[in-house]
Amino acid sequence: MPHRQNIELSMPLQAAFLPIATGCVEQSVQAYGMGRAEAMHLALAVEEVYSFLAARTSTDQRLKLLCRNGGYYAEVVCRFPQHALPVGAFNITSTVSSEDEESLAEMGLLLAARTVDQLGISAENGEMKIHFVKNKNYPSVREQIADFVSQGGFREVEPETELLKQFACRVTAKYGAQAPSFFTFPGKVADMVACGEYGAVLLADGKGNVGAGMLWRRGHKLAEAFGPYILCDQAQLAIRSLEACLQKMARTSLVCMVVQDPTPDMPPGYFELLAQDGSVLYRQLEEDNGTTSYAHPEFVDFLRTGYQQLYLPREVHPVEHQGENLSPCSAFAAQMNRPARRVTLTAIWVGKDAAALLLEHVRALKQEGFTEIQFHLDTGVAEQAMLGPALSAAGFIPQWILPWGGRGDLLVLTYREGEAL
Amino acid sequence: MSHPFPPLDTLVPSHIQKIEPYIPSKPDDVLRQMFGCPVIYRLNNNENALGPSPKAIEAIQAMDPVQAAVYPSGDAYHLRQKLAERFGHSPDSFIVGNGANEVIAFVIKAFCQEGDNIITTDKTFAVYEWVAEFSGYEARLVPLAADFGYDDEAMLAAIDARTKIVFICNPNNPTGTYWNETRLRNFLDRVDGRQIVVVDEAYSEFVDAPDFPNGMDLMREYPNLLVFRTFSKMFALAALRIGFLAGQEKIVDVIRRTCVVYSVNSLAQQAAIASLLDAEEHVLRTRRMVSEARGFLEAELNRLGLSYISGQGNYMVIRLPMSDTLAYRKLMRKGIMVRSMTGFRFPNHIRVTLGTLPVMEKLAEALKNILTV
Repeated sequence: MPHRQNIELSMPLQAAFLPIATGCVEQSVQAYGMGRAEAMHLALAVEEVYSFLAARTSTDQRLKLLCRNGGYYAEVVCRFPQHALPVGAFNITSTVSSEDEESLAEMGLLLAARTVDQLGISAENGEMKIHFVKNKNYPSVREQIADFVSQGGFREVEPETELLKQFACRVTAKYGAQAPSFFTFPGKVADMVACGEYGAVLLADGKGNVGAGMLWRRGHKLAEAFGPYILCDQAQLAIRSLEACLQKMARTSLVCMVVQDPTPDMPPGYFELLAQDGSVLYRQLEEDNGTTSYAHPEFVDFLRTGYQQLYLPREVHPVEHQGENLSPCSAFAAQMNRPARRVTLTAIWVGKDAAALLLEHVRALKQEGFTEIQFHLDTGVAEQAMLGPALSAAGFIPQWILPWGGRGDLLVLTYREGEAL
Repeated sequence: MSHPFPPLDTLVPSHIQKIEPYIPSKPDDVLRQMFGCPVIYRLNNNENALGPSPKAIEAIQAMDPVQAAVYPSGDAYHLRQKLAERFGHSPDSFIVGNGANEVIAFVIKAFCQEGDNIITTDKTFAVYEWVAEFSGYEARLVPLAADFGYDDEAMLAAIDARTKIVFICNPNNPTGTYWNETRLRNFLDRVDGRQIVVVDEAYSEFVDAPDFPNGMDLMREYPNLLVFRTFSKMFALAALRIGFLAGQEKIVDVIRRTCVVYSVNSLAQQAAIASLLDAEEHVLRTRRMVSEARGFLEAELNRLGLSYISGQGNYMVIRLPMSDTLAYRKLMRKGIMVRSMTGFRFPNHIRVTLGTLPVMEKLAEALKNILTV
């Protein structure tokens, strides 16, 4: 989506200016074509953060607000002085006690985290950034799309809106729950590609029937691909789709791609297996000439063996907490897939309370019915290595490595009942 | 005192924000350590395994270290005189650069402005595309034809009023395909002087096909033709970074306005001059080596059941039944460094440099090994 639709605001952190912040968010998000309800949710999240900060920071501090149209979502970024806000309040495990005044004050932050679809926290150059994301609502596939008789003559076509919508309908009709749920929202698929966050390859015949295609989400270094989906009787379109997809990814900032739960249409000989059960296919897009992986001594052997098996050049650097100062609070992000009862945890902030907080997360997620809990540990971030003992103590076991899945490689751990130390 | 960090999102132009820096491979000593191999055979950059010619080696050894304190000739004066004698043009028809990459940048800077485009192909030397894009110009990528050669009709069709330069890599890196003189003339005739046509002849000295065109001769007839050559490949001076462009004086005069002078060091200039003194013997020896290597490797690949693209130049492209980037890592463990070709938009292919027979034997053995393990 055009950068020129960004709305930026810088204002003093004083309660009197709060309506300017919330009004800006509300109106910007609606101007991006989203509903009033979504706009109000984002405005509420900003209101809670703003109010909390305004009550606790000196009057000369400022908040910078950025509203961004993501096409299929709206994002609001709040930037303010680091350490002005307790990041622990954003954890899914946060609770509020009515006995405790400070706790009550944090209730707003908890609400802020709950009103949005995604939350991110980062810090850089003395500034903290909180990203709130609210997804746009789309109608789902309404009716079955008719099959077509293939006459051949498929060629790569520009992924225009109507072709993408047709593709999504056909994928939903043929693959059902095997395909990601976003395919059931054709308009969303079209917007995902139009905004540039997703790429697509479509092969269509002369009559505009989409016979095959792939979709991928562009991450920082890693692309997650979906497909190839073959929607007619021409199996060879799988190789054409995949090779076209790889060619489009070449000479971009992407370093590698991953396909989770591949369909039977995936042609052999293009990928490496990461997870032993074959559920994760991986491929690098350029030559890997090595990096350093930070790991707690508990995981060093696992990583070295894994790197050997993957022929990956890595220097594994052991990291332990040796009494240095840590932030009091930790924060973990939880990405949930409720239909699959799967959740993925990542560290956004590593603090002194990591071990206890991790245990709380596991307990809360189990209570919510999640049966598969993964933790993605970024070996490119030295401080995350310090989570080693906390992860083991909570029952997480290293399973496989996703090279370049984060700033460095991701060590994927899964929670096993009864493994907690 | 800490100063505010500059606002990169507003300072950096949008076309630069979209680009990731090219990260070259690490030095051999680091790679040896990371991949755990005692030696590395470099078959990734199409270097000449025979090294520089005897005269060039003499010139390099004769360089007086004290001269390192003195600036080089800013425009490679003596080398341009020698090039003029060799190719029968005036010295002002040549611009020498810090490798051919630098002269690509000179040409794009000289002719393109906002809204312009250049034309190249999807599977060729990447630098034309990169320089255009990080300079803010569109690079139109015309797909190669089914025979892996340049598709002249499609390239002509891609030209519009904002097209300034068409790049033709002849022979093409990595496919080794080439346009013969008739085809190149026909293309130049149809362009009819409306655009600058660059013929990159980086690998021309490796070609022994009789119908291969000599751009140095054709530029007399076609004022819009520029020819690139390099001392990095056949003449094995890659470490010294020296290449040049040639064209009619009037065109070259325009390009010279965008040149960074003093960018080519004295040692490179002296070695390049010396290379020209015994070029004929050096070219013949190298062609012999490449021909033997090609014959050997083609036979081995046939035995292994691997398909390949083998044309002109000191390289071949091999199709593998596995990810090329995995093959790269597996081969690196065995000390063989190849070029994985996903980045050239050839997934599951590798490009290998054709070098000495003992190294080709090691490559064949390593390929056999990674396909079976």
